[in-house]
Amino acid sequence: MQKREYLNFEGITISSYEYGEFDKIFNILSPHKGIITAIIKRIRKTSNKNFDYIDVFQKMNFKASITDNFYIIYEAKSVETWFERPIKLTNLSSGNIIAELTINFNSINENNNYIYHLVSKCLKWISNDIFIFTLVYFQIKLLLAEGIFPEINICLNCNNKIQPGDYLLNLIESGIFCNKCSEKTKFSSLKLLEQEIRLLKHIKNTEYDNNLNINNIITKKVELSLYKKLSTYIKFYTNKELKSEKILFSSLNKY
Amino acid sequence: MNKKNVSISSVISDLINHLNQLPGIGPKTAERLAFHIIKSPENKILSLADSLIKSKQKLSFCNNCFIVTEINPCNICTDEMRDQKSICIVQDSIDAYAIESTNNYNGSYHILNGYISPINGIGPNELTISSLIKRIEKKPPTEIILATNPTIEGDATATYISNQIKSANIKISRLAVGIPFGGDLDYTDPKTLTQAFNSRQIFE
Repeated sequence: MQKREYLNFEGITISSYEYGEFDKIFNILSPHKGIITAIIKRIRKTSNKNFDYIDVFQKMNFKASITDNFYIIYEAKSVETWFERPIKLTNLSSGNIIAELTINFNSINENNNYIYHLVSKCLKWISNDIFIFTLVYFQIKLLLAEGIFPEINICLNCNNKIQPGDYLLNLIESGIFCNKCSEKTKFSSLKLLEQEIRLLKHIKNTEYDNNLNINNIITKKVELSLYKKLSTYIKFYTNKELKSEKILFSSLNKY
Repeated sequence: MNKKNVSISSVISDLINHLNQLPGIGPKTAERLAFHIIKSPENKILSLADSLIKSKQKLSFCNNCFIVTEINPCNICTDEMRDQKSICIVQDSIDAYAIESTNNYNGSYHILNGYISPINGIGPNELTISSLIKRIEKKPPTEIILATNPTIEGDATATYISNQIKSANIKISRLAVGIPFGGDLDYTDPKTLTQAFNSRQIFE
């Protein structure tokens, strides 16, 4: 007989898929254990006193039993719901990008608690229709937490301080080359514009609280171009395409 | 495939593998079904195999509504007794069959063949939404009933379609969400209960 453990935890449901005839499997981001994959039995068929309505992008208190690292949720009570109905495609696909990035970078380390609060905060901003800024913010904070944020203050080759201007970001060496040294970084490079570097530095050094007010900080065009470049940078490290990205861009064109 | 299956027979493990790929069938159920098939009389299994082959050879999607059908256009689209001015939009053919079983709806359908799910790379272009819009433009209906599942993705799909056809001056409705018959208020989650309250109707 296997020993069964029990666990109470708060978590954010970030993705789900149907399993069997009546069940669903959820990827739940927790503050201390990273992503927990757990099954909720019969959730597609019956209402149950132990479960509040459960879907993706909800913060809930869970009670689970664990056998061989397999989690079975037997109670889930809502703490916070971000996306009120009717939900727009832009909100859903932005939330899905947060989910995909979180899953791609998931690891059990001391940053879990930080990532948990970051995801919570970013989902709230997305629910308030702040899309691309939130995604850029999430990308930058995730790179910082994972220790792969590029060097943007000094040239990787000559160590000279980077002055305001456009520079090449080397993907392999993870940093900027000054214009004098740019000949040495022709391959695997992205051109970062001055405004994009300014935004990178601004977000790197700023921790916004839940009630985000970003009026007049940056233009949407800079946000979007920086998002795309950081996305290329992240793909270089994770070697994974974000499925939601294409759908986000098509929905941004529609609205 | 686990070692136990491999050591039994490659034919059985092949069968288990194929069954395991079906939706809703896990490895244990696949094993159970495989051994049930092996133990069943030959004529029953041949009949099952025949049905599987026929379903692939004879069934296709209706060119108009995309329901699974033997004839094209399907019986529902060609039935003059049905209200062709009403289109009920559902995710899959199985949902249309569920609505048909109620004998309460006499309009036509449009099957999306899925729902918008960005995390799985499924956007509006992967569904039959563009065909729906062409269908509406060609023959404008009086009502569109959005009957996608009340999940976050089903709701995003309904919202997207609603935004696409809003300007066409068509009545757009969404299936109600609330307490099921025989259900217990005490067992209903707060979100569903709130929705049921907000959608309450005059009691006559």
